[in-house]
Amino acid sequence: MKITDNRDAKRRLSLLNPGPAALPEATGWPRFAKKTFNSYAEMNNWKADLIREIMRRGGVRWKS
Amino acid sequence: MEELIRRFNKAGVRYLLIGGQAVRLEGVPRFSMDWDFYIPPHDEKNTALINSLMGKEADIPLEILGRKGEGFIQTYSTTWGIVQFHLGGPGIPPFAEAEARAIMLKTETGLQVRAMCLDDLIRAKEAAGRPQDLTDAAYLREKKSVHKKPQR
Repeated sequence: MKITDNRDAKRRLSLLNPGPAALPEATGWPRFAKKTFNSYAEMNNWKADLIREIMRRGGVRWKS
Repeated sequence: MEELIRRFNKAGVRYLLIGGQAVRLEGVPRFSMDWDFYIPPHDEKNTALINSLMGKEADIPLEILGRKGEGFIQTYSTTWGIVQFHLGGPGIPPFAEAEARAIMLKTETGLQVRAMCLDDLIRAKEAAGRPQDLTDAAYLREKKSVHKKPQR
């Protein structure tokens, strides 16, 4: 049975096959100087900006 | 990132993997673009050791936590990927306590990584409270409940 957009079902299915999901490698990450944050809010805002910057550059390129 | 973790392990760096990569290595099918390490916030020797192992990748040295809590997250863009050092944070227990309860996780290549235990990770995720954190926490709680069920 196909289950669509059911988070509980997804959790159950993933737990049937435990183990780390392989992390895909990609190139095209922007380089930046060290960032220091004094709150999670600061970090989250910066991270959102970083993702927008990545997308402005056309996204990362996944290695096959 | 495994190169950096190998260096940490070999040199005896005090660190705990937290965040999305710890969640992933617990078996949750999700992606994270950075690697989060919890380190003791006032351990100058450990901080210096990390700086020496980071070498030129640390364009500005990692620092201990400021008197007013400044710099509780310090982020680096490295050739290994994005590395974030956490020196505390909401829902994160004092380092020594978390370290005493630490577990070893394995990467997909089998590299051992010292990580925050499941209960501490769940509490940290729930305290962080972003939608992704709450989804992660729900997965981890489900994993915990599955492992608690008696085997038939």
